[in-house]
Formats: sequence, C-alpha cells, structure tokens
Amino acid sequence: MEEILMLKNVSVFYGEHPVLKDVNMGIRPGRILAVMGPSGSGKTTLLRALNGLLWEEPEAEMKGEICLQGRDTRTMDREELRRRVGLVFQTPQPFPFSIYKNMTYAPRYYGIRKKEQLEEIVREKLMMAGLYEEVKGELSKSALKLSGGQKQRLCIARALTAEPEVLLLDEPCSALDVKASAVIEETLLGLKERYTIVIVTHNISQARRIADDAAFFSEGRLVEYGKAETLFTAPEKEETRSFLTGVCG
Amino acid sequence: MRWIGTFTKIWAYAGISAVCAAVLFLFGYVFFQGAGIISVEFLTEAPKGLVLGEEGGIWPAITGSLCFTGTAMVLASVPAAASALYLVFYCRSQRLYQAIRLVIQCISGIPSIVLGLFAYSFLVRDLNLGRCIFSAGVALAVMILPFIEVRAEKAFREVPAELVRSSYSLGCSKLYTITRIVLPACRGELVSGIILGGCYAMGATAPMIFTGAVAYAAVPDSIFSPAMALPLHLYLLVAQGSTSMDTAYGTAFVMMAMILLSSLLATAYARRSQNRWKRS
Repeated sequence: MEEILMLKNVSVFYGEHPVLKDVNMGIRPGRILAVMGPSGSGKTTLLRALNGLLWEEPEAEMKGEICLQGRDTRTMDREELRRRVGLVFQTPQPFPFSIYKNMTYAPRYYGIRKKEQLEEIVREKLMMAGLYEEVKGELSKSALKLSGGQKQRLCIARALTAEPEVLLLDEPCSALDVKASAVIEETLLGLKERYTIVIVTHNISQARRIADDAAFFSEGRLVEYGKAETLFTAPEKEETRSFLTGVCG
Repeated sequence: MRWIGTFTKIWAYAGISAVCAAVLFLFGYVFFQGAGIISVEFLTEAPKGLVLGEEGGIWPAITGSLCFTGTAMVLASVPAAASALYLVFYCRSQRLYQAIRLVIQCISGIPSIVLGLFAYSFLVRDLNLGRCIFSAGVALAVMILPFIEVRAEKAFREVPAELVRSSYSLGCSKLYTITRIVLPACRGELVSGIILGGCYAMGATAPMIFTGAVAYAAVPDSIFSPAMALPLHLYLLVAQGSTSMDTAYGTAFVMMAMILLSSLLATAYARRSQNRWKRS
C-alpha cells in the first residue's frame, strides 16, 4: 500500500531548540494512526508540520521533506495543503456563529453558493460526525451552546467540509468525559473508510481501541512505529514498553 | 507586615478618590458655569456681537468641529487598521516589526503644533490647497493614527489564536479569515478606537490653527473650505477677555458634552458588539 504522507528526515527547531529530530515515517491511507508519547515529545508539532500550520510561526524552522501523495508539501500552496490535510484541535473551537454557519464557512470559501448544495454538505458531514440527529432541528443555534463532545464533533464535521484527504486530530478527547470520548471514537472508526486519520492521544486504551497503526515519540524522536497490535502487544524498544506499562510519560 | 497591606489599600482608595473627585469637579465646574448660556439659539446660530462671539451661538463651530473630526477619523482609520493587520497577521520579520513599531511611536511623540506646521507648509502652501478642512484633517489624522493603530493591534491580538488557526486549518486564506473572523470579532473595539481617536482630534487646537480653522466662517459646504472649530473658538473667546467668558464656558460645555457622549457611545457600542458577536 502506497503511503499518503511520507516524512523524510524531518526536524523542527524553535530557535536552537529541536522539537522534532530526524523523523522518518510513512503514513498509510485509509487507516487510523495513533501518535503517542509523553508531554513535550513533539506530537503536536508533528501535526502542525504535516498540515503546514508551522509556517505561520516565524520562530519555527523545519528541515527535511514531507510529501503528500508524492509531492513535496513545501512546493504546494499552503491553503491547498491545509485543505487536503485538515486539523482538529485539542480544545474544540467552533466559530462563534450558528452551527449552520460553522459548517458552511469553508464551502463558501471554496465558492459554493447554492443553498441546496450547502444544505446537503451540512447534512452529510454532520451525519458523518454523528451529530446530525442531535442538532438537525436547531442548525441556527449558536455553536457555542453545544456540549463539549458535540462541539468537538462539530469541529470534526467542519474539518470534513473542506474535503480533506487526511484528518489530523490533536488529543480530541482530552477535555471530554468517557461517554463523549466513546462517541468520538465511534465517529473516527466510521470515517477511516474515506479519510486517513492521524490522532495524537495520551490515552493508551483509546489508541488500542481504534488505531490500526501506532507511533511512539519521545523527546522529539520517533522511537517506534508499526502496526498497533504489534506495538501494543510486543513493543521492540524498552522505552515504548515502559511508556505503555505506565513507568514513564 | 499587615500594616503594609492596609497602607497600600488606603493609598489606592485615596488615589482613585482623588482622581475621581478631580475629574468630577472639572466636569461639574464647566457644566455649572456653562449651563446658563445653553439655549436653542446658542446651539443653532452663528456668533455675533461687536466682539465676535460675545453674542449669538456656535453652530458653525459645532459643524466645523464635526467636519474636522470626521475627516481625520476617515483619513486615519484606514492606514491605522491596515498597519495593525499587517503587523499582526503578515509581518514575519521581527526587525521589520520593531522598525514599524518605532515609526508609530515616533509619530505619537510628534508635538501637535509641529504636525500643524508640516500640514501648513506642505498642504496649504506647497500643494496650494489653502486653509481648509482637508488640510487640517490630514494633520489631525497623523496625530490620531498611532492612537487608533495601537487599539486596533491590541484588538486583533485578542482574537483567540485557536479560532484563527481553525480557519487556516480549513484551507482558508488569511484574507478570508480576517474578513470573516477577525474583523467581525473586533468591530466593536475598532469602531470605539476610531471614535475615541475622533474625540482626541476634536479637542486638539494646534494642528488646525494654521491649516483650516478660522475665527469666523459660515457652515462649511465642502472639505476644501475653511471652517470654525470649537477649541479655537473657545481659545479666541477666552483671549478676548471677560466680556465673552459666558459664551466661552458655553462652548466648553458643548465641546465636553460632545466628547463625553461620543466616548460613552463608543464604549457601549464596543461592549454590545462584542456580546452580539459572541452570541451570533
């Protein structure tokens, strides 16, 4: 299976301080990759590098190459890269508009003006995120009035409206309770048919439940990467083993 | 060490009471002295009398002041908001940022009479525009530009970074993010900053003495004609001596009422707009 995203010797520095060190990995399409590691191991920076948000930080410098479908992302227009590689943040951040306006924000930018077409996108993406049934009667309600879990699913649905190929999620369940997290997990499992998903998580059991592949980072280095099943049952590196058993991280 | 805490508290209360008392006294004194002369005629007629302004009203000065202020607000707000947007969203070089900041600080440090002199020699004389609202408006605009820019920049920086990043993460351009997220979020702050800048311009005399404000003129019919202005009219009335002190206080009353009302409106608008944006 050909990799959708390929990282070759990727390092990221903030001034002199390296946050990611020489990362080499290929991310396969149609799967869920769980990225784990202790705090400060460079997981969030990895996601930002993947969707080009790092370019907005003047103090960050990236070396190496990230290829999306074989094309170096540095040669791509940054808007195009971000459309193709969506990112959902740790704290759900709906725009302070109605649910409907949140969902049509990106499609309008891409030139879709027809009401029926917009309504179809809103319905389809909300359904994919498992939110449609809960909000269908109140699409004009402020998105800020939704519960934490609903907000996060709205953010996932909103990210889908840009029709990305890869969906990056930065600890999407860290602020949610067990029930809301379970709904998000279910949503992600439903989405992997159509999208490649990279999820940063601190929750090892969550990673076990949903991930096809898993990567373990420590101090900016990619320590171990492979099939989730193998990594969780028989990790090769001692560092990974101690993280999984809760000795470190 | 408890006495230090008590002392600091007393000091703070005394300080704030003294400031409030001084401001209230100032407003109260001017309003008390000026209230007697306020009438419909005073607000709607032109100044009259053997010594000009001793009798009649201040209508041309009110309209003139509004014209000067309006021109300055329009001329200053566009470059101020644009430079604030550039500094917050586009400028990636720290050096360039520092350089632009320094220039803006320098502008705010220029004495207003020097701005007046510049506008006089460049616009009135060299460009032959003559003494008019536009020439004075330019001088006033330069004076209030840093004031508006600083407020605009602060407002832009207060927009949650996550919202801006969320928009970028959808592949939306900076321009789209600015027009759809940033400007609506800051509309109240921006408008109130511009109005407060206008209040600052309305009270300034020095930049328009040589450039557009005159002792007597009819209600202006274009921005290329000279006009009366409340602060200059007040200055002339006081300079004329005791015979026109009543109308001087009346003029001060009107000017302060206009500035106070504008400030209150600006603050209320900013608050309302912020709440509405959060609820929308």
